[in-house]
Amino acid sequence: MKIKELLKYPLIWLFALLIFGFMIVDFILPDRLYSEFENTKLQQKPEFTIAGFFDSTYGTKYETYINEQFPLRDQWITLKAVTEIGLGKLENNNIIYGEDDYLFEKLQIIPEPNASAGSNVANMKQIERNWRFMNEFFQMYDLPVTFALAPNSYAVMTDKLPFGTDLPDQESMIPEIYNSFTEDDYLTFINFLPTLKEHQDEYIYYRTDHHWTTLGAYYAYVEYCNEKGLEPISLDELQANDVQDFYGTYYNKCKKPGQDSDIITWYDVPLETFQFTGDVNDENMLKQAEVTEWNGIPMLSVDGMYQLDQFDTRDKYAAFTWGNNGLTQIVTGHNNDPKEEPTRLLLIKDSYANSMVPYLTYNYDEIWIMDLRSTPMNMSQILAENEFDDIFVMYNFSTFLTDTDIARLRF
Amino acid sequence: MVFSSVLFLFRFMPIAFLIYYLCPKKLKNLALMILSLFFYSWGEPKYFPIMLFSIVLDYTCGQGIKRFKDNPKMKRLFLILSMCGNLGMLGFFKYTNFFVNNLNALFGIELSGIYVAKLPLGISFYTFQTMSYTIDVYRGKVEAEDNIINFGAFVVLFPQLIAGPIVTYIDVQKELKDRTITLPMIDDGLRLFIMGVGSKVLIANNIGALWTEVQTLGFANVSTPLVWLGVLAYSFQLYFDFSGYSLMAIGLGKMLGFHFPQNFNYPYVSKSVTEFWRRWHMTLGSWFREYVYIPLGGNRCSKARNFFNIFMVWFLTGFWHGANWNFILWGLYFWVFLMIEKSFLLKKLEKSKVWSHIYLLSVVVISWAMFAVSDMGELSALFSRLFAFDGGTDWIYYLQNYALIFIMAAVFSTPVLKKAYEKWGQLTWLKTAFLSVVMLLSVAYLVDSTYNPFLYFNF
Repeated sequence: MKIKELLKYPLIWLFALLIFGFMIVDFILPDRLYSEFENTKLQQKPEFTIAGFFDSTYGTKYETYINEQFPLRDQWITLKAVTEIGLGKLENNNIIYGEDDYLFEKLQIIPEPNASAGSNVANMKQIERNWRFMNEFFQMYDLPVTFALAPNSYAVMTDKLPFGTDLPDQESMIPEIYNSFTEDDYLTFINFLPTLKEHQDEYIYYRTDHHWTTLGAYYAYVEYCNEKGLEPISLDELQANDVQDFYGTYYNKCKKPGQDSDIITWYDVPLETFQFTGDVNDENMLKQAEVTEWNGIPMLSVDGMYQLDQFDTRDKYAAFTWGNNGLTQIVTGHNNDPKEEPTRLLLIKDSYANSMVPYLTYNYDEIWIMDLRSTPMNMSQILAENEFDDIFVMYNFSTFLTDTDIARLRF
Repeated sequence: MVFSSVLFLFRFMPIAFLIYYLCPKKLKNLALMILSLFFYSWGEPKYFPIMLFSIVLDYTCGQGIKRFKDNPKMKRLFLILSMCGNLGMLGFFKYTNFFVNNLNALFGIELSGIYVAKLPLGISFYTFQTMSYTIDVYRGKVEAEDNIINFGAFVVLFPQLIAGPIVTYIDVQKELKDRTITLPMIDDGLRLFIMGVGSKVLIANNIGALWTEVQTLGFANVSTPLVWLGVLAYSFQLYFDFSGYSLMAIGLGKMLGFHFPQNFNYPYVSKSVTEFWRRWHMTLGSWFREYVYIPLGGNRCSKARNFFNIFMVWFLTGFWHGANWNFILWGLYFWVFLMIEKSFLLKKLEKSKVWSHIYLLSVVVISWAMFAVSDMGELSALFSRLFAFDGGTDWIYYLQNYALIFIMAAVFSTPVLKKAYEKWGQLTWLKTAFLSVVMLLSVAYLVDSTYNPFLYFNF
């Protein structure tokens, strides 16, 4: 076979170049351990074993390995996202492209659990369970509890959704959920949605992330204070800092080409003490924290409200309250609402609350934060052994529908 | 292993073709058999013995029939042995649970089924292919294959192993023994392969996402227009998925030096169900005609018997597609339309220019709805939503998202691309540029399909 003859068939050598080229480059290129683009560890070359081959675990792992280590993987994924836009798609990987560069989660509710459904899909069974656990929790203790569901960005910025988008109506569902709980004199509900709607033209939600901004959290905080008769701190009294180039979770999923980044604002908030249950073996953490102990639980003690080095990474939102830790204890040292006795708040929450906590330090002497997804002790134990003036339970709407750890409230 | 995967395209394909092309002619079939066995066993090595058994069984039966060509009883015995072996395997893996469940429901007993996590790859196809071999040897239509390597290469030939076309031994017997591979053949095979990859990855997977979403939302929770969009999307998905797979197989076959039969011929442009089934999954249709319909007597018998023969074919066609009542229902649904067309409608349809297409597409799209859902409760929910109108605005968003893909799918369901190729196919650079874009975009979609960002901070 002559080379000259082969040149007449560009398709053959182009195709051969493609498949051989990528195979060889793949062999040569060192494997990546971690993908910043995908925010996950990548599959490493599996070790070949006879047993693994026959039960096909080797084959599965090997396939994941070559998929995840494929040369130019990030660029291929971006090419797909560009093509989808070319095809006139208003979404990619279940993230809806809104106006003004806003990205939204395509939240969907289905009747039965479905294993193949994405993380954007909530099912009625889980919702009913979560509702029931929450209701049981409200009934279990005679303690003053405030409950709030933080609306997600799409529910507030409805004008920015593409025409005809049909997502669960949080405006009607939040009050409906509140009303469905068993009546109780100790219970207060707060609906942030009307307030946030009034401010919808401001920068109250991130464009690329599922959280509200520090400003959005502030409006919700003021609403909380009004409801509880507390004096909210004014933003004018706080020193603001900006972090640029924040690309959040929504962007991570859809990789929309040409997407603008977000700005994270955080305020200087002094503290007396801040300790939390973190990884006491994490070397990076040990450089910034001291290991302490509380009730036999090892804790990390730090001297700031924020994990500042987190702002240099992709996962910038995790700087707030040093991420989502099972139990966090803050002694604020600047309560603007002093009572005869020091006041203590128990905040049971998901990550939406993390950017609200700095404000709350101006209204309590102590704040304890529990994240049920990684709590080191039982709810009943915390409540039996410690006293709280207020208990504030706050979840964002989407997490409240899908979270699987709310059950822990009852134990 | 499937063709539309990074693993196949960037590992198996370069290595396998390199080995195959470098092998001396004499060893090509051996190489092909080993490579195909590797392809078959990857991911499911436990079914490897089944494949070996299948090869040995049919080889032995073919040889037996040859040796006892003057002894009708022995000949028959080997034929029956092969048929029992093949149908037995198919029945055991594919249909046991169906029969067990139905017997349990019928008699209120509790037999336990077998646990089959995944059917052995391509079992529905290769059992038919090997059976056709022994039947043809028995009928004297073809010489028995003496070389077990040639025969093994035929049975496990990787391009058509998984999803057809159903290649009978007669189709490839000459090429098994002696074939030439030329650059134009490789070039054309590549073209078909890339078109197949594009059909599957760019169109079928893409439009199929709409159907999956409608299914996930639940038929009872979406509006009638959206359910129709979903079923339409599924109809396109099925066509581009299946015909794409066949194209990939035919293309790969060509690159190896084989000419496989055509499997799809633009079925959605048909004017009648009769015509549709001459254009859809053509090799399955010929198989049933050759090995079921004609042996039963075909049309050279009484009208009633002919009626029954056609009924059997469609019952089996349905059942072959899946071990569930909805597939049987689906097969018989076509039988009804074929009978109506046979008695009077066909002539009228052939004269009509517009209505015949509307008729055919409605019949087929509704049949796919039946095909898509195995759970009878779900199926009735689907049909009640399809036909009991329930308004809503949810479809607006989806229509915007999928309009362009629907248009593309509709256009590519017609022979426009084929005509364009006939006209401009000589322009090498144009053809190459087009196919390169298709291939690169397909790789992007394949890589993205394994993209699952871990959002541990997604709280």
